[in-house]
Amino acid sequence: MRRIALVALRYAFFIGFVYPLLLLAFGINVRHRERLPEEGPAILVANHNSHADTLALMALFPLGRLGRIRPVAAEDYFSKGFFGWFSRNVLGILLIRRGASRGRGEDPFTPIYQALDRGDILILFPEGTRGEPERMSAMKKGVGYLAERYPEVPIIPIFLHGFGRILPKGDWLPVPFFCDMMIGEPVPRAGSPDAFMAALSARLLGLSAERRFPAFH
Amino acid sequence: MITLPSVDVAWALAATYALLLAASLVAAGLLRWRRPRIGARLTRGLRAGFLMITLFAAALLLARDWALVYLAILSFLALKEFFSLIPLRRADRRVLFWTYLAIPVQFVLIGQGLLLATVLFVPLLMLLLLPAAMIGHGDTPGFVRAAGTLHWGLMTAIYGLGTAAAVLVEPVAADRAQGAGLLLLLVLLVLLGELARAVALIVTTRRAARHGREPSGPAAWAAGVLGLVACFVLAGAVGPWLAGLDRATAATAGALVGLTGAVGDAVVAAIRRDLALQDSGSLLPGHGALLFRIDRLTFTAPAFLLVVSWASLTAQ
Repeated sequence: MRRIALVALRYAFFIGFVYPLLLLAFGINVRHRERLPEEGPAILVANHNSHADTLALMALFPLGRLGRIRPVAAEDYFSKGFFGWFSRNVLGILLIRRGASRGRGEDPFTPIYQALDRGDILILFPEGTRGEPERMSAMKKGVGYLAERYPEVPIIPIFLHGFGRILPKGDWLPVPFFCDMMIGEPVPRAGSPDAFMAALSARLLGLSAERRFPAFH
Repeated sequence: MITLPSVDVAWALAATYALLLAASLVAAGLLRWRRPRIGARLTRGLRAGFLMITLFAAALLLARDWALVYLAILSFLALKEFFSLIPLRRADRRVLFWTYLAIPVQFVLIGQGLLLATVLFVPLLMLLLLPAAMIGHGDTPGFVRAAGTLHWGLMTAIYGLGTAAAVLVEPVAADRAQGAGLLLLLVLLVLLGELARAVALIVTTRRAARHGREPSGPAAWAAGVLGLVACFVLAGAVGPWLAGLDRATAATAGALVGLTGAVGDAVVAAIRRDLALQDSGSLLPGHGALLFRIDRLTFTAPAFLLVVSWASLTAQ
């Protein structure tokens, strides 16, 4: 019963809020949509500038499949309050522990392994935080380890532009802008986590160069 | 929600589509044989023409208030395109939010038939309010440039489209049929001016175009004059039948649209160059599909509104 209620809430949230917001108020151009995976398991890797990023990436998939699309986020940020409850139960965010659990011998990625084994599509933001709007910051290596452990799961880079202008970190007033989502080819495995991260960075950089973007500073 | 246009407007619309279709066949022929470069240019221009006439045809088919709502939405999309394409200071982000609110104000003024307020709102009040809002949000470096850039966006997306929308309703138009005729006439004149200038440029600068150079002074002048004459003749010929204007008013409006169109073309080109906006010919929203169709209205629509409202007000 609770599960049905949550699914209904998710549908209502996307139909009543996310789609109108993304399509009418903002407007999104998706380039190379055909490169999206038909089914899981798969990992989408994107740069992170805004809370709108997560919603836009989820909205790339049809309503019926939203339950299998799992954005991965840090537990300390999303465990508390209504925001945390909503993110976990309605959006289906997958929480991992960062930092704290390292000494305890438990692998913080366990929820990710379980989700991939179930065939879910994960959304990862290797920058770890939204950071400065419209700037890319250094990426953490977690995706590199996942790439080693799951050599057959496609890892798809997606470059996002414009979302940091709509709703930058620390601001609450969204301003409409057109946004771009550029979907890349799966990143090939490179032998080591470091080499994989280098290949991933190069892919994202290549995607960002497909269009010339105006300055925002 | 829908109103059928008068027979005259329907005929004019059908004739325009037929002409565009015929021109597309010619362009396809040029593309295939002999002149691929000119053919490609013509095809691009025609595609823009189809889009422009279709955008406004939708406004002609909607009932009065729905047509205004529709044009307000177009205005919102065009402004959003402009803001998405220009370089921005982070400090001005919130100012843009308030700027969007100028759209409903502008279209309510139009809907209420407040002609004077319609014409003064953006150029005068927003010219004051926009920098005032910017002061509240900090930063002085780059202030004038930022304010000027934003104001150009308002003038194109809100004022250009708004003054075009104003000819659709009273007090400028006596009734629904005349309003639709006036708006269609304006769009046709803008398209014709563009077409005439493009043809003149192709003919006079074939050599320059072959080497990828900008047209030189005399060629640009010739193109402008041809555009002006073409608009003068077309407006004088169909204005009385299509928009219920007397022939002198129609011809004057045509000449003024041709003139402001030619000068506006050069100004718009300079603005685009300065802001590094490139018309990719894309039909995708967000890449200038809408903005680059309507930016010539910035100058032509107010000029057209001036002449026809002068005529209708003095006649009353």
